[in-house]
Amino acid sequence: MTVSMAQELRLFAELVGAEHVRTADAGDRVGGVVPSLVVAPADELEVASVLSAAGARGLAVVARGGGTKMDWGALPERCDVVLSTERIEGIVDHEPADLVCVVRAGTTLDSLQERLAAARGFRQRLMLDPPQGAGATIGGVVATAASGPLRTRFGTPRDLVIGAGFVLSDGTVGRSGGKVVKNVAGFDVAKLLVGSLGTLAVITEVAFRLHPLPAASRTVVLQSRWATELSEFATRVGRLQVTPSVVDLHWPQGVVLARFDSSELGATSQAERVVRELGGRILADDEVSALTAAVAGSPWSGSGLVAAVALLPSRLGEFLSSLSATCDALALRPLLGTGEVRFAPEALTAVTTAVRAAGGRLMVRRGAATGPGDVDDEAALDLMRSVKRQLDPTRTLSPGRQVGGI
Amino acid sequence: MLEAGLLEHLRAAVGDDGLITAPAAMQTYACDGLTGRRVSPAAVVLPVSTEQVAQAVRACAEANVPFVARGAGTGLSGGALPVADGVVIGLSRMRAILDIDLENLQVTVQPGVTNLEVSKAVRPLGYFYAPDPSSQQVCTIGGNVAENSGGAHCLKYGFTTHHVVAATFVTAHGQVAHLGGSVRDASGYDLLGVVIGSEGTLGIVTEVTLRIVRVPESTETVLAAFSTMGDAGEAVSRIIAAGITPAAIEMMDRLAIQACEEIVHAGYPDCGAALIVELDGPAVEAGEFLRQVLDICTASGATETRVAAGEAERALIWKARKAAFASMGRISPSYYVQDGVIPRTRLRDVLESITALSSGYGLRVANVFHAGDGNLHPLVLYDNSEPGEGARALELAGLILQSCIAAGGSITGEHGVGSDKACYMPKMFSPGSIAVMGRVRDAFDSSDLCNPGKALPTPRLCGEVPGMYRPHAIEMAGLAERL
Repeated sequence: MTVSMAQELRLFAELVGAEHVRTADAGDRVGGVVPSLVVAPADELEVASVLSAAGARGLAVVARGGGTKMDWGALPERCDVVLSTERIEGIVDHEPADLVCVVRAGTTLDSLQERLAAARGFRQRLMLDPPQGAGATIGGVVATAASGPLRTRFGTPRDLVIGAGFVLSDGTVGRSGGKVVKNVAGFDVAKLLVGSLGTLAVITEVAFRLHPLPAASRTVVLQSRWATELSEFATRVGRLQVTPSVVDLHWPQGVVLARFDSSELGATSQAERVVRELGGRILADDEVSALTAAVAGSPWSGSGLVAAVALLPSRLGEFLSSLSATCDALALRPLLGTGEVRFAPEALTAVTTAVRAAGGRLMVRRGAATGPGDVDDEAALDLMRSVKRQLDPTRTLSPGRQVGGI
Repeated sequence: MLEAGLLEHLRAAVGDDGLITAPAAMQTYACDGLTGRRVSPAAVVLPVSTEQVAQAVRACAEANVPFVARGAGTGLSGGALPVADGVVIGLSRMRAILDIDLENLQVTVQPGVTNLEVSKAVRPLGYFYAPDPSSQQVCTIGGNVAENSGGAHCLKYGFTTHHVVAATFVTAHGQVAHLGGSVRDASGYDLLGVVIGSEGTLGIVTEVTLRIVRVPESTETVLAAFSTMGDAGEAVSRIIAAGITPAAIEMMDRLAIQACEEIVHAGYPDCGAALIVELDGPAVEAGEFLRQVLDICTASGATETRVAAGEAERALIWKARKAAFASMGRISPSYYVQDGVIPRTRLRDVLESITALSSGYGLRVANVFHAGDGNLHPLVLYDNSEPGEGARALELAGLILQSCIAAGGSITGEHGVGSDKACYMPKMFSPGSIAVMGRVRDAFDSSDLCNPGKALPTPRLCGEVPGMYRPHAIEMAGLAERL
């Protein structure tokens, strides 16, 4: 550590307490960049003082929750301080009858779900199941806009966040939205923070819409050695008047899983209708856990690059035939045209070409060449730069992580 | 008056037939649904394409003249109120449905297409566009995007922001940007997310791609009568606690029911409170939830429950509900509609304080609301021929809003802040929060020309210390009423 950083350490120790500042080590690196310090403020006011101090000294700050998605986005240009949200923890407000909760950013998703489940007389949860979810925090899930299989019915963090508290790099503490689901007062600033990769503000608190847990679930599976048969089946499930929570296609496992969450009768009747009209079969309960375990973590488990892909659902078939050969694993939401794929590093060009040829986009999430993707539209990119300039003029927060070097 | 140079640029942009400068013809554009506030613009342009909108905006930007985009003008918060000596950009001539992509469940439209036209276009194919504001027959998609419109069914289906996937957007400087995309997960910041609901202050959408939804297999509509609003509120809480997500839950009080019956004759029971609960989805599921809802209503003290037998009966129930605002004319010379939101669990408290305020002011308040999501529309009834009554009505409406904020709610659930409630923003948001919103606005429009004075408070409009809304002089004089 340099002499100057020793001074910074003392400075941050004054702001948050000496026991909450430490020098960083290799485990704290962000991409390839090793920061100097890790600072853990207790609340939004301490976040504000840490950010103001860092901004005034020209230090770059990267916010970190559970650290499960530090590879998402481009490598930061600079990273002097990791701001850990680990102490900004806990539920601020949970009114089960309103199906709303307000939670601090450093709370892990898992612990939030546990605490929501503990509400007596209610069965409800936050309908988010992001990849690499173990240890992931609310702030991180929101900043990366991470979503999983439940996206098919419940959407992404964008659709479930109803309010946010945040701190700008100049120390301004702000809030948008509120703790009611229906609310159009003021600009929806939280939308800008969802998926911002920490480049606009440090998220300190999030209000979510919750959903009731279903009384019953039934899962229909279709197995096939033909990827196109799987995608065709999934598409036709989407055309029926049924409301699946999950429709996922897994390759090379060669399955589509369609899950119906409802009342006992409602779930069964929908699953039976799918089987009757489209084929596949309803899984017995023990099969559900076995098959769920078999595809859990895919395509993240196993070595190689992992990338998020998005394309029009109508072009999925064409994409599958060219990619089921190139990729080692696919986990797709065919009704949305989104998902994640894993492949060997040398296949990057082939995969990228195939996705682009299908009019889609690709963002590498793990391995070399991770990045936030591209924005082709110059006018839109100009607006994004302008938003960054307004909210973080000193480029203190995760500089370089967003598109176009923002 | 606009300087001749700008007028010529506007004429060049939209042609002779797209430019209105005659004062009488411009009166149509002087207000939106908040008719108490009227401002005559200096010119109105009616472009037919993205390029014409961009050209008109560039002309205004170069001349440093403010401009206000306008759809059908059904907004209730003065969001489309013109700026004096400014330009109104009316999008009523841009009303083509450009593309129906059934494979990807997306429809692309120009902003002047009405909300209902979208559903009508895809209904024969088995799909619909979910957000359904009560004004859906006339309100436009462009206006829906500006206001992030909801409607009775947003309880289950979400708001405009959940159904817009992409937009062509003319920036405040007249550049054309493409936000979002038909392919999901566009990279970079979710600019579209902040543009939706920004009340036309960040730019103008000129093409919008919407997600459409499969028509549910079955729809069941219940009309339940209760002796008190408290009992009806209890039923709402129990329905939610049972884990049921109805498509809609609406509540009306006795006064509102009586007014609606005067004009629609839907056969609502004469009772203290009526609930409309709609359940949709797969037939088996909707049927099962229907039975549960009926049981819950009975257990909560319902004096009568009816299930709509078929589409005609359902339509009649909804016709009465959607006529609630219009029917107030039958029971009162004037009324003011409020648009507060409260956490559902605070319904009883807030209704009690509305009742207390009503008797304290000696003014009747009819209650109509989206009970499922706590969005209240108290209608404050008054008579402008009584001196000072209009002012007292507005004061009462303001106090209702205060109790919504105190209960942890919001000053607007769907009508927007507009020019009507800009000065209430500081009661809900801290100076820091409003400053951040102001910086977002600056990022899009540093010259403050795009619908200035709306959505966010300004010192000029609200004074140093934001205070109660004061009625416009024209309302005080009884020359106009608010819708």
